[in-house]
Order: sequence, then structure tokens, then C-alpha cells
Amino acid sequence: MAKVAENHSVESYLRSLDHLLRNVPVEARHDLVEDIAEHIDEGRERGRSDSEILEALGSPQAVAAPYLDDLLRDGNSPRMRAIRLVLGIVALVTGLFAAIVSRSSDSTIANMGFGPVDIQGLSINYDYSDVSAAIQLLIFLALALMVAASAVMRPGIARKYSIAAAIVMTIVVVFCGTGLGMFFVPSMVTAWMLAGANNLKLSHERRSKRSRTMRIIGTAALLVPAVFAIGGLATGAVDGGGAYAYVAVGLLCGVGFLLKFRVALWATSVVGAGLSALAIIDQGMLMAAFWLAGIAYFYFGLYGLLWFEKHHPSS
Amino acid sequence: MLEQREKIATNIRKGVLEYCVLGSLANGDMYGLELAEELTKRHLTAGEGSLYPLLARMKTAGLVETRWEEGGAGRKRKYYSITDHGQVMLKEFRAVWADITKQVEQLLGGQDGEGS
Repeated sequence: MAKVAENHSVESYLRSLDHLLRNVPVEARHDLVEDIAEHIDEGRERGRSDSEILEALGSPQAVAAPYLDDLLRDGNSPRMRAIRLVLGIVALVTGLFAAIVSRSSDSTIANMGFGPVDIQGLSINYDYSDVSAAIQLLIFLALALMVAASAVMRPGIARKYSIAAAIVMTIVVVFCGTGLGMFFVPSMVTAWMLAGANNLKLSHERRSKRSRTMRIIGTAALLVPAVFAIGGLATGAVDGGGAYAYVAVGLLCGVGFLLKFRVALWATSVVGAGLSALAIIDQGMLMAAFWLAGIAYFYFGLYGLLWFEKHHPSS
Repeated sequence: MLEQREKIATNIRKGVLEYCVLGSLANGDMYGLELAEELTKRHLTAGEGSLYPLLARMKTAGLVETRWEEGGAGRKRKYYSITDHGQVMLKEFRAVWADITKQVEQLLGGQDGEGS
């Protein structure tokens, strides 16, 4: 910014303009404040007084208005509203699902926890009374509702709220450890996705950049295990039809994800949901692994479906 | 009465200001303050400040481009110039504007106004 700081009212004018633009993408905000500062400098050079210049500029609110209108429109655009709504529903459904399956999980994972001794591996099993089971169900539902709520809030409030909700969910997961905490992982991931969807400060370009990064991470996460499995099959370390089936599914999901094929993204999500369900139905030692792998597949698929830009043949 | 008049003017300006900017730039490159003074002089913009968000949007839309040039007191000045796309849009606007003003004139001209 140029040398406009000496006059108090000019300084406060620029500061209030900058403050009004706080939710505008950083580059646009910086450019506008700089343009106005330069305008003031030029005006001074022409011998106009500060009050004349500011008078002619109009109020900071009037200057910022087009940007603020744009923000509200973007934040409330049908696409963004749809994304928030989908995430809100996912929060509710995964919360409900986790509440139910945590009831049915046996104690095989109950002794793997960390944290304070008395809540280590805290998980509901068949010895629990109905009252504590009901309380647990209520806690799960309350947390799911807490996460989902920002989907229907006004953009400005939704942003702060959803970050707070995501932090709370993260604390819950860490605090509950590898026992009960496992079941809160979907809610936690959904909460962070909602926090991202509510962030109006992300310009379109930055969202695209972010989704490109996620595409690389997701592709690696989906493909690397499949490649290991291929290695295993080639060397004979693993065998059987299951391994071949996994390689096929893993490769299709991974490559489809990389190429942004909608069908593959749907498949990734469905496979993920299936894996998580399977983890509950067949509770072996691998339950937690299947559960988490399912969550990873589900959310990578969901992320792609929500944020990957569709193929545009023209432009 | 004056308030009503201002309201009407503001509404109409909103749609044409962009093309007034293009029209000004078609006569030669300008920097922000120059452009603001030109438009304010003609009562085409109520606040000079609102010009800058508009210019930023026009730049994104590829109607104008900017470059930095040595200005007064050794400072850099941001100059705006019209692009080819801007020229095309200006030409289109001229045609639309000529038609609209003609039609409005015809429609209102035949009525009993208060006179101007």
C-alpha cells in the first residue's frame, strides 16, 4: 500500500474497507484496497483535500457492495447450497449409522484404546444397560445433528460454526480413542468437509487447486494398496479370488477417480459404504481396518462427486 | 422529487456504466482517477469508489487490461486499456443503445410529460 497512512480519516476509511472485504478472496480484497489507496494518492497530488477525495469516493460500504453481493450470491448459489445440503444429510446418515453399529459391535476392539484408563476402549457391548445404550445413541445423534446444522445456516455464521463443530468432533475422536472413537470418524470427516464448503474466503481458483490436490492424494490412496496387491499376486505372496477381485475394484476406482469419471466416483463411494457395512457384519480382527478403508473410499468418492468439476467439452 | 430522480438515474446507470467505461477507454488509455473524474463530470457514476470493483470485474471478463506505467512523483500508475473483446462489446452496446433510446423516445415522446 502506498503512503496514505498519515491522515487519520483516510487510514480509517481504508481500514474499514479492508474489514468489510474480510470474507472476499484475498487477491481481490488486496487489489481493491490498493486501487483505492492509489486513487487517494493521485487525488492528493492533484491538490484535492482528503475530505473531498473521500466524499467523492462514496462510503466504504458502497465501494465494497458489489463484492459483498457476489459473495452472498456465490455462497448461496444453487451448487453450493446443494453441496452443503448433501453433506448435512451425509452427517445425519453416517451419525445414525455409527450410533446403531456401535451398539452391535462386540468387545474385540474394546481393549485397544488409549487415553484415560476408565474410558479406554469405551464401546457399547452386550453387557451395557439399556439406559447407557440409549444415552450413547442420544450422544451420537446429538453430535450428528451438531455437524449437520451448518448445512442450513446463513453462510457467514455457518463458516465459524462448522469449524467449531469440526474441532469438537476431532476432540471427540481423539478423546474416545480407537474404541468408540472409530465410530465418530465419519462424522469428523463430514464436519471438516462442511467447514470447507462453508469457507467463502476460498476463491473459485483456490477451490480448483484444492480439488486437484485432493485428486492426487485420493488417487494415491486408492491405487497404492492395489499396486501392492498386484505385487503380492505376482510374487505369489497372496492368492485367491478375493485378491483378484480387490485388484480389479481398486484399480477401477483409483484410475476412474484420477480421470474424474462420475461412474467411478459413485462406485468408489458405494464400495466404501459397502466395506464399512461389511466391517460391521463380519466382525473379525480386521474390523477396524475394513471400517476405516470403507470410510476412506466413501469420502474420497463423495469428495470427487461434490467438488470435481464436470468435463466441459468446450472451453 | 429529487430523491426519486436520483433513484431512477442510479438504476439506469447501473446497466450502462460498464459501457461508458469502455467508451472512455476507446478514446485512449486512462488511469483510475482520470477515468473516475471523466465519469463523475458527466454524472454517470454516483461514487468514484464503485468504479474500481467494476474495473476489476471487467478485467476478469477480458474487456479491459491493465499495465503499470511511470506516473507522477516517480510512482507507478495502473493504466487501463480496452481489449479487442471490449471493442466488440462496445460496438454491440452502441447498436442496442441506439435502438433502446429510439424506442423509448418514440414511446414517451407521444405522451404528455411535464416537459423538461
